[in-house]
Amino acid sequence: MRLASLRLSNFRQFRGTTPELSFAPPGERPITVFFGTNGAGKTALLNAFTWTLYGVTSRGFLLADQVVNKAALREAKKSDTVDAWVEIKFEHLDCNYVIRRTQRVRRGDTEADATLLGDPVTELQWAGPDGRWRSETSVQDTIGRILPEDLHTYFFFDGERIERLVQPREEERADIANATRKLFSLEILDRAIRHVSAAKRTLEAEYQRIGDAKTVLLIEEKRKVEDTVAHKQQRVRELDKNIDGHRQAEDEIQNRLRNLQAVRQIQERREGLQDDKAARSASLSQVRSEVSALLSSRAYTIFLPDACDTYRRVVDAMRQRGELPAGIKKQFVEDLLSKNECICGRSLDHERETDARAVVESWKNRAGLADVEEKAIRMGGEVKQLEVYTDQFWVQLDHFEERRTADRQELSRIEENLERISEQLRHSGEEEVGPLEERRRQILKAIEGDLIEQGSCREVMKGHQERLREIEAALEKHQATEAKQQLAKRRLDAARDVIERIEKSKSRFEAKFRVDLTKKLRTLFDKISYTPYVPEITEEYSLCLRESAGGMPLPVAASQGESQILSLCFIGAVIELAREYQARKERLPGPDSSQYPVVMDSPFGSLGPTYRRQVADHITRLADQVILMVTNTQWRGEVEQSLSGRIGKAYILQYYSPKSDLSAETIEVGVASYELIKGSPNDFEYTTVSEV
Amino acid sequence: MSDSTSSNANPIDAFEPLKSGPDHIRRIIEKVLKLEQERLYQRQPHLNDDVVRIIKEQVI
Repeated sequence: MRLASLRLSNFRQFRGTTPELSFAPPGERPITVFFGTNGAGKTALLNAFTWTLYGVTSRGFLLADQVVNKAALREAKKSDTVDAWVEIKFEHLDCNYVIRRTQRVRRGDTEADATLLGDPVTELQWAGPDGRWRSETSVQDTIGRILPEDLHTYFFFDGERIERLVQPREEERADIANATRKLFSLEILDRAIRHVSAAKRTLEAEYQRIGDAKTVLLIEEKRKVEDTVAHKQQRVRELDKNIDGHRQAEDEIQNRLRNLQAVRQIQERREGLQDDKAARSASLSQVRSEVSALLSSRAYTIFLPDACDTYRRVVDAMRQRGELPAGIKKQFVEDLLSKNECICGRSLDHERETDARAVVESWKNRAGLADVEEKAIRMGGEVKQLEVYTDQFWVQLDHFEERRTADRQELSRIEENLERISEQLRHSGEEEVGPLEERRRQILKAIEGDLIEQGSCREVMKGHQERLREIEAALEKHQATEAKQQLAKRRLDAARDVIERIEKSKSRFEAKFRVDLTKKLRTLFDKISYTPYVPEITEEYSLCLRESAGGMPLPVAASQGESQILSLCFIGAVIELAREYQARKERLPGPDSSQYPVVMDSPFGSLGPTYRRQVADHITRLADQVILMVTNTQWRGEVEQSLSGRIGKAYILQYYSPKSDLSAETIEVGVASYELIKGSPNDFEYTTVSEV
Repeated sequence: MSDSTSSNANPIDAFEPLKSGPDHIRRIIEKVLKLEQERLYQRQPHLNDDVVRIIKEQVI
């Protein structure tokens, strides 16, 4: 940031509008000096900067209703408005800026009775390298990016209060630490850690919301179900083999029985019955399938008779009311009405034949039922068909039931016969036959047992396969979720990595920065101070002086002068280090500037001659641009000798006093002499500024 | 005067962790720091949504 010029209008002591007060640019002669006596407006100049740029002023300096110059108010008429404003021009990164802050006041009966018209208004215009001027609406944001507000302590300061940096009030302590951290981007790293950590919590919540617990459970269940199904399938296959084996054994027994002369006939009869049983069983299965098909296709019709009856009642009622059939078309009635003549030849005039017209019009509604009639006819056919279906359903069902009963009876008869044959064989007197039949019965029991177990296995498999389909559908849904979940996890990991890296950098940079700043501060303090004290920067970036005693630094109570020196050295060290880091590109994104102006009000206030010379010599060399406000006594002697070769611009603040017994005060600048106090031509005080 | 403490004795690059990560991590860091810089003038900027967005844009 490079300050270009300042203009004041009715601001505090400055009556009317000052000329544009341009500042010495950085270079060989970067110092601009304002000479003024006490009360001439030196502190007002300092505050003009902070009030305009940040809306703040020195503690206790500027109350809102004291912004406007008293003389201007006194000269105004009652109810006139008076504007007090400050305009600063500056450059920053190849752009020119003009900022103006205005406070409007309305005068009452007296100049003391003035009313503020709203809050001060700030306007900011800027022009880039193209030279086109634009208005900026977010003024504080723009200024904040150029030189953040809490850094203004370092760049615009009141020398008489500068020791506050060393002896800050409790509430100021954090501000100083924040400003330092901000200037060196440590604040950016802190905030980045804080904000990425907050973002990490958001990502964690998202990750948990997507959650993988359910997927894991589903996969586990799927595996268990698949194991069970595989186990049951294996068992079904084993049982199949068992049954085959049993059947072969049974066939062999039956063959042997057939080969035994004594029981051949019985066995052959049994085989005939077994064939009959198989045929009947097949027939029974066939009937069962046909009944199923019939129930699926026609059973619904038996639930419809009530609905059909209701339908008929509705249609019959409509017929009775004459709504059906609709013997007349709506269009026909409309044609009669538009011609104003009935089919009987009677007039349907709107005015004279209103009754006749109303009667014909009522036909329009009835004619409207033509659509209903069409639907009713179609529906009537369907209802009739439904009743046919119902009748057919019962007939067919009865027929199937008869066949089923016949098959069952026949089966039962066959089974009885087969059982009798079996008993006959079991108790046959022939050797071999009894045991063979007994063995066959055992085999049949075993087959029955196996078939039952097979059925049970198939039932279990059916249930499990159903569950497997459900799990697979759920998993498919979760697979999409799983991809999202992996993404959420990667984002979470990235946030963790980012935090870790920023924390590591911050701790390395902070350590390095504290060492560099301490070194810079000590070097500067050593050049200026003649005391043996050693300055120290605490963890919280506050300052203290310590006395080197036996290698152990001890806190010492610094004098006001010593504190001022230390504070000035600190500011100098901060500015110099910031500039060095900037030049070495050894920095993070932060307040972006390679030029730092310093505006100092009475920086030599309570210093002795040696310190004045040292401060003038060293501190003013650290900033690129220096704007100094000094009194005659602060200037004369050491400061003048040190600085006179580097002054680029100088201004005199001439204070006009209404008092008559004024003691003259003059300042010598170069070969000329200037009066700092003059008699006011009227009865109020004010200040004017003129370039030397 | 105690000038023995010198950062030159420590050659470690403070910003190396910010520069040495994988591409997406470097891009996130770069964008987050730029965002922080832009909002440095605010005392308590609310950047959670922006930072989440940056991470999501870089990890896809």
